[in-house]
Amino acid sequence: MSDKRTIILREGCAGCGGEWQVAGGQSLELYQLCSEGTHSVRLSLEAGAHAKVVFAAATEGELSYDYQIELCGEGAEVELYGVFVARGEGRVRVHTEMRHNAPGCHSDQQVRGIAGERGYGLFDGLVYVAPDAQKTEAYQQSRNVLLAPTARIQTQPQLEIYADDVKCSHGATVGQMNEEQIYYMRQRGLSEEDARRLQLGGFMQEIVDKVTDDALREEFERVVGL
Amino acid sequence: MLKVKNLHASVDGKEILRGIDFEVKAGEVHAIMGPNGSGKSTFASVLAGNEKFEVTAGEVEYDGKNLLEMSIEERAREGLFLGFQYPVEIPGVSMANFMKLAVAERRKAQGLEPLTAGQMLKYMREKAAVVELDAKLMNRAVNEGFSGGEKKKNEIFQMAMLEPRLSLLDETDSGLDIDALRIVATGVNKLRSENNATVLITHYQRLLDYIVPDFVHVLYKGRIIYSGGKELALKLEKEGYDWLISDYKE
Repeated sequence: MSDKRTIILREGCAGCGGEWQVAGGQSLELYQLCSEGTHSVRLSLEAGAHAKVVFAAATEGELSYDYQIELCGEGAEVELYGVFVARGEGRVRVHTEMRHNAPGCHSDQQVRGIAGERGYGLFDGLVYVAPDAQKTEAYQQSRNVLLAPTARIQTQPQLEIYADDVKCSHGATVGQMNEEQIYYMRQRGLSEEDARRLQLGGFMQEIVDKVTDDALREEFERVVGL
Repeated sequence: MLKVKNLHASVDGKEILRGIDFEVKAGEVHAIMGPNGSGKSTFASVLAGNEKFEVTAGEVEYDGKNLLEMSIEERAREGLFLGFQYPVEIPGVSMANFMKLAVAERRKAQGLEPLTAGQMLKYMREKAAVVELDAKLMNRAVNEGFSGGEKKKNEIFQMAMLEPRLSLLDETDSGLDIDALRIVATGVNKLRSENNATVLITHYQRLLDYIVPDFVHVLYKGRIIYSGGKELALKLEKEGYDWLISDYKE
């Protein structure tokens, strides 16, 4: 078993964050649950290191998450998953920079956003692949749901690729709830309200399920209201 | 149980159903056949209350109530079930959780107590066995990663769970291999009783080899243009629809 560290950054720290280095053969798991403030996390990974980041946020206030992740050694791997909910007048900004500076590294990002009422969300994600970072695999997905005509979410996926032998993909969607699913559930007797709650819950659950520890996952579920 | 009179419905201003008359009594099995685009699926959707369609004329009485005034979920809770041609996937929502809520609503409408967690588990296992559906699928998200056959079996499983009065099965046979078709048909037959009724919407006679209907209807250009007994399906299989359609003046 490799050396594994777990860091949990909880609500209450107005400007929590920090810088971590992950050495070869080590694995870092970082969980972040904040509801306000500006939080900046910097990670750098050496060859063969692994990091997994999962964040959740539900706010009616101002919240900003900033992740700067550098894959500096060959074969490093990063997973980054997050879900945010901006309610009321809430404003959430998620900024990620995934820098592939070494060959053969792997990164996967999935960030989901929900905005209701006059909420605002921003996902701004950069994937950078350096000229000599061949055999890079980098994936980024930003999916968002608006619950009201007055809610807004902006998503800005960016790829900067300077190597030619890479596998990269990104996808971004902003949409409303899936009415086909709502109809299907109502046809089985669920109220429209229950159907919407269940569907939205399912959308978030897929991210929350990335947290493997039961107690911690329940904490995540509470934060986003599952 | 169901009385449809002169039903007209349209989508985006285009009329699809143009005066349907149709009646179903408890204990009966009806098959609705007809060429592509004749309005078969629309008819089932309108009965289920799909808001995409607008009913422009006609009446539908279901167990003495005005069906057209009921919401989608009220119809379902009163025992109207639609087996979807293309069951949707609902990521992140487990079958078990979904069924728990659906069964609770149906039982409430029937004046029954909710099932305990233990009873529910046993009930799900029992009903899954009716259509030979792997009980492990209950822990997966609704229809997600299910094969085509599993999705259709899952529709019949849900039908078994909800014990409907009237089941509308929209092309439940399409895309099934012969084994899956037999399993689905056996499931439907096991659920038949004096108190419920089934309407099968299908293109193919082969389903009707397994589920024998009392009546067969041909829907064409939004109207039922011909009705007969089970032998009608065989004639349609052999001779197609041309003999009927050429007879039929708009």
